[in-house]
Order: sequence, then C-alpha cells, then structure tokens
Amino acid sequence: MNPREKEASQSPKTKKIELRGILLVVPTYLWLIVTFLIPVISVLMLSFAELHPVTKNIVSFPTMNNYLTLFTNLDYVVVLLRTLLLTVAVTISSVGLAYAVAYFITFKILKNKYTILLAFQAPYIASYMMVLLAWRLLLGRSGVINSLLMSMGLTSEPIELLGYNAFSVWLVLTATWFPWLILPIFVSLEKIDRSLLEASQDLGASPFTTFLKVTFPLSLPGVFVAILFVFIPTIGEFVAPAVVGGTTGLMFGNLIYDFFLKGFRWDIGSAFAVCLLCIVILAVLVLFRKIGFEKLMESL
Amino acid sequence: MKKTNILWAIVVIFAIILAFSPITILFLLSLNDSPALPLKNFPTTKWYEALFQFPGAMESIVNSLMVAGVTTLVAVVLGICGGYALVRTRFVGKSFFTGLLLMPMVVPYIIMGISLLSFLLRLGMEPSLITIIIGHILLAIPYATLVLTSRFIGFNISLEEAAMDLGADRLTTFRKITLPLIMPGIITAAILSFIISWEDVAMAVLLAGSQQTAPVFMFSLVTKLPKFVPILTAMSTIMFAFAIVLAILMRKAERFSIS
Repeated sequence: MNPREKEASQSPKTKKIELRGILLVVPTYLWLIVTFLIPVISVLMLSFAELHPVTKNIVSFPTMNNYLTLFTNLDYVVVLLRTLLLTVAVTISSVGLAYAVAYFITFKILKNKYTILLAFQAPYIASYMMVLLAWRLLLGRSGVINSLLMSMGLTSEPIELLGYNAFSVWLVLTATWFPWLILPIFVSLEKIDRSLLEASQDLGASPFTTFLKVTFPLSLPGVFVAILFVFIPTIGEFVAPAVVGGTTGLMFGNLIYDFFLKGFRWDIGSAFAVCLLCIVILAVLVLFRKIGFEKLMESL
Repeated sequence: MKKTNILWAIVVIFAIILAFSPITILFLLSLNDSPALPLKNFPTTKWYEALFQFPGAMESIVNSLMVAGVTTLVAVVLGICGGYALVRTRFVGKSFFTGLLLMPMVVPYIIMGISLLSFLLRLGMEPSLITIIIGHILLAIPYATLVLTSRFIGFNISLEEAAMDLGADRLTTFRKITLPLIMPGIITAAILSFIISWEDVAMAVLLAGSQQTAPVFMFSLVTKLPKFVPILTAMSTIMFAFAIVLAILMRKAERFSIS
C-alpha cells in the first residue's frame, strides 16, 4: 500500500472518495472493456463457432472445426512455422545488434551519450510505414540495390535474395526494430556498478570473461524488456510481409487479415487469432517468470 | 586492442547504415527522375506534382491529422481520469483495472484490430475514420494513463488541501492548482498519443473504410497499385517535414509547461 492510499483509507471522507474514484475511472474502464475485453472475448467464442458465411449467424457451437482447419492444412502449418522462425530470428538479430550498439555507447563513448541515443530514434519521427516504403524501393529484383549493383557491373543478374521474400522480411524487421531496443539495454548497462567490473578484472578475469560472467548477467533485465518489445509486434506482423514479403514471405498475421477482410471467414480467422494470442501469452509468461514482474516494470 | 576497435567500428557503422540509409535514399529518390540509383535528371519536382494531382493523397494527410488530434484529446482526458483515480482513490477492482490497462500493450495489433473490427461491424458500424479513432484511443490509453499516473504520484497533495483550506472550491482548486502541476504530464501524454495515432498503420489498415489515413493510403497503394509507389517518396518527404515541425512545436510546449 503506498502512502497515498493509506491516507485515503484513513480519511473520514473515505466513502465519498470511493464514489469519486469510481465515477472518475468509469469512462476509462468502460472504454477498455467495450473496445478491448469484450471484442477479444467474442473472438475467443467465435473461434469455437461455425458462422454462416453470408449472414454471419452462428450455425453450430461449440465446434473444433476451425482449429482442425488450421492444423490439418499443411499450407497453414507452414506459414505458422515460418512465422515462429522469422520471429525468433528477428528477435535474436535485432536484440543482438541493439546490444552491441548499446554496449558501445555505454562503455566506449564518454561524451554526448544521450544525443547519440536520441539520434538513433530520429528516422522514426516520420512513421513506420515510411521506413517500410523505403525498404520496398531499396529491395526487389529491380530495386535500388540490385539496379545499382548491376549498373556498377558487380553482378550481371539481379540478386534473388534481395527480392521480395522471407529474407527481406527478416532484414527489414531487424533494421526497423533494433534502434528501439537500444534504450532499454543501455539503461540496464548504465546501471551496472563499475567497481564490479574492475573487481573482476583485478581478480584476473579477461575482458571477455568479465563480460560473460558479470556484465551480461547484470544487463539481462534490459535484454528481456527488449525481447518483449520486439517479439510481440513481430509475431503479429502483417504489414511488413505485405510490403516486402512477396509470396514466400507471408506471415501468420497475413492469414488472419485475409480471413477477416478478404475471405470473410471470421470463425476460422478467430481460431488463428486465438492460436497467435496463446503463443504471445506463453512467451510473456516465460519472460515474466525469468525475471519477475516487478523488475520488468522497473526497467520499463 | 587495435583489432577490437576495428570490429567495433564495423558493427557501429553497419548499424548506422541500417538505421539511416533507407530514409535518406527515400528523400533523394523523391527528387529523382526514376526510383533508382544512380541519380538521373536530379533534382526534379515531377513526383510532387503527380502527388498533388493524385486523388486522395493530400486528403489522407488531413485525415491523419484529424484522427490523431481527436485521439489525443480523448486519450488525454481518459488518462487524467484514470491516472487520478488510480493514485488518489480507492475503488473496487483496482488491480483488475491495472491489469486491463496494461494488457493492450502486450497484445499484437492484428488481434486487437480484428477483434474490434468484427465487434463494431456486428454493432452495425461502418468502417470509417471514426472506427480508426476508436481503435487509436484504445492504443493510446495505456500510455497516457501511465504517464499521468506517475505525474500524480510525484504530486504534493497538501498544495490542493491548502487551496481548499483558503476557501477555493473543488473546481477552482483543480483549475488553479492541480492542472498546472500535472501539465508536463499532460503534454507528454498528448505527444505520445499523437505519435501513436500518427504512426500507426496496422490498426488503421484493419479499421479503415473508404476514408484513409496517410499510412493506410500508402499501404493500399503499395499493395494494390504498385506502379504509383514512386509518388509516395514525395508524400513521405512532406510527412517527414510535417513531423519535424510538430516535434519542434511539441518540444517547445513541453519546455513552456515545465518553466
């Protein structure tokens, strides 16, 4: 209980204050319940129902058919696996790169640390869509990079890897996410007591051992926050694959998008969404357990 | 020692290129004859002219501003109510409320988007700017409320009590004491809400009808009419300039509110 709550409970006007609190919190509460909780729960229900494709009336409930559709169709399973693989790959590469940059800023730069940190966020003053658009023009069989390489005579054929495919999605998501992850890692690196590092070196540890045994474990809270930051949006991503993914880079989010906005099969789409949500909840729980909720909130 | 320095230089330069080159090239291409390098017939304004004539392009920027403006207003008001209630008062289900408040931050946009879409369609609403605003307010509420909560926590309650002891009524106290003291929090919450709405493409794509915000316009052009993509280089440049002006204005407002 924080002091202010204590004050409120000891006040003679407690009853009145409680009423005021309820009145004040009602609009925010209602907004979250009506636009978030009820819709998500109704999607959960829909995933166990079968809808009439046109009228959207419930034909049968409960049924597992929607989930069966997902797990018996090899195409869908492949997309799900690709999404998981891509998400893990993007998480590792963007957190790794952000860690390197954060470590560099923390330990190798003496002046203007915060200006450099801020500068890395500058491209995002514009918008995510704009960065994706830039990559769309850079990549592609006849994109900027390929045409530049060909005009310089470095290759005679366009490089297929730089076309619109799963590799491009990985590259683009890594490039767009890592600048955001520098800050949380920097904060936890900056917090480390430098005398611990000196102690480790005085006791004869090499710089690499010091990093492995002292610096890295102490920076883990920031790393977990960074993982959370990149993992959740990436696993639900459907915009970047649509822009630079071509046909082989499509992700699970694109399937959900198609079921809801193109195929109008809300029931199957809901089942897919629930699967995605389960993966996210699992990941969040594992991360929270690894580090503890309190510590995570502290480093946010 | 030398070797590690070279390694560091490579990693940092690679990171800088990855982060900054796409946007820089985008600006160059907006003034170039074709969306390719090396530069040809540079600079030309033909993409800007094409952009102004393209139906829906400039409207979408205006729509974006409107959506972000309304989102900011509503999210900040809801954030003040929620933040005040969380810090100052006790009510039933407080921990449930806190949990509910944090949840939108960890659920992917696609799930919130399609849930909200199917729900609103069932209620009989047509996708429009209003549905986008409803979605954006949901995205902004957790951030606005958290920012204002921390502002209310660092707030000396005896200042309010002093004002009331001196005879000010509740409204005057709020206007003359509370509001100025939480102003920096309000400005930060407003900036965050505005950016969340202005930046968002995923939620807006799912909830948009025939009226589009700028990111939705860009997305649908890329996915449906790829041959018009080069005009988006000009649009991006205009939006970037816009965002910089806004960022400077907001920065000024932030400074002003603190002093």
